[in-house]
Amino acid sequence: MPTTADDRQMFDELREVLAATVEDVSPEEVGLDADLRDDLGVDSLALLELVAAIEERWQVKIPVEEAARLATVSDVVDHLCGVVAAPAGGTA
Amino acid sequence: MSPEHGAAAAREERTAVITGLGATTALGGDVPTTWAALLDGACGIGRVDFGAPGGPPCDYLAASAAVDPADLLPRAKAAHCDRSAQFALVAAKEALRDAGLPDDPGAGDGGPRVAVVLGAGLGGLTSILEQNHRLETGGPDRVSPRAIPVMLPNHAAAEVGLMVGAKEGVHTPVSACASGAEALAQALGMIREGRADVVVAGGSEAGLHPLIFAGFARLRALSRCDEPERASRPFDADRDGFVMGEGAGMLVVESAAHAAARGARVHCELAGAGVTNDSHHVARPAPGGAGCATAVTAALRDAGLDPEQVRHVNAHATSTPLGDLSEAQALHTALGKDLQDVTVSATKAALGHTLGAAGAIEAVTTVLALRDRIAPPTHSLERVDPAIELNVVGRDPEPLPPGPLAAVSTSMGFGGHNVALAFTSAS
Repeated sequence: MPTTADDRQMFDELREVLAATVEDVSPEEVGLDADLRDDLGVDSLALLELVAAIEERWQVKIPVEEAARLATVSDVVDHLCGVVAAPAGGTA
Repeated sequence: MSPEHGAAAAREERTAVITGLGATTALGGDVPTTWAALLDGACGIGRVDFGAPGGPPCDYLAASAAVDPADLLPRAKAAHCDRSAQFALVAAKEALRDAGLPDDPGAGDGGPRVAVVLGAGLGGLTSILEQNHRLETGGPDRVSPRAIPVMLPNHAAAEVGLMVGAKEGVHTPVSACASGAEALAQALGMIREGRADVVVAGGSEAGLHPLIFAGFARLRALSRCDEPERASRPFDADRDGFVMGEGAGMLVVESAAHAAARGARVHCELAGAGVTNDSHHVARPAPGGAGCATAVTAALRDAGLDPEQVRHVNAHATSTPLGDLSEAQALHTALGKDLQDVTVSATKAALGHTLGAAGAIEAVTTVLALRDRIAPPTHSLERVDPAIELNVVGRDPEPLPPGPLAAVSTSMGFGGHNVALAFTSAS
């Protein structure tokens, strides 16, 4: 499980983005260690859409080579926590 | 097997029957709700406002869908589909359920051989405009990776094909406002040629966008009446243009042999189709509705029907002055001089003109009229144009006679397209 409140919030929002982007996925079944391709059925087109949705939601840019390295939900959370500025007063 | 037996079996093999109906319209999110409201004389037309706050006024009368299709689909599926595909999926699911089939009858091995024919008028046009807006305001990186599949004319057909397991083929006739009817003509051909056991066929459209309204308005095709209940007045002496609608109609067209083998309930037979082109003008009908008349005659010949066997017509009748007149002339030419015993319904009065979906939604209402022996009303009709000389059903539905019954549904589209479909009551 995410260790900080920011991680936790990021994870919860990511679950919503995943459920809205990837067919046949509900937020409840998105675990932190779920494999995007094998567990959630994120194929190559779905990964492109997921990246587009993340870029839009968090106003970040995920380069193609970075996106290719994202294998699990945890990878995405870690990546996002690294590039998204912490909300004011939000550090635990 | 006796020779007669063999001939009967061969005929049944080539006969196409309608075993399932699905629709989502301005009057309801499904067939029973739509049909009950239509018979009740309800009108699905209201005012839609596209104006941005502080911008120029931008409101139109339209028959917008009673139920948002996105509410009925899984969230991610809805996000991946243009609204036209959402309508098609919702209506296809209903049609399959009505036919006693699962959502995916063609998936797996050993099941029925399934195809999809789904007509489109505008296709994924509102998605194209949305993606273009993202391009112009946010740059190329804001364009969705799904932009291309969603903007293709075959997008809705492909989505329905994926759902049903349409391994025998997925086709998209594009013939403007005749597309939905042309889909059924192609489905009939596929059943007769033995290319599929089940064809999920129809049309869908989601074109309620200010650009489309403006385009039709500039063509002077839209009604300028601002009373929702009176704006769409097919065959009325005071008609002055159409009102745009949206939605989908889907039908399960099945080989009679396949339907009989699984004990399916049959709504009626899709007995014949006629498809012609005016080859005259991109928007104006041929003089006297000649191309439409030829399509009706061809459909009857294809069905082995005499003109006098037709007792009900669901007319294309969009409520434009010239279009309705030439269609009436076409019906007189094809069906004979005195048509007073033919009840003519013009359902665009209530459902608006759903463009590429219209022929399919009207095929659904034609099948229901045959099944329930009742011709739906034209609620807005006040005075039939004397030049029309048809027995147009007015504010109250009219009963259809018992016994074997034939009905025709007509559709026309920009580009000179004419399609007529002939249905006969289930024996």
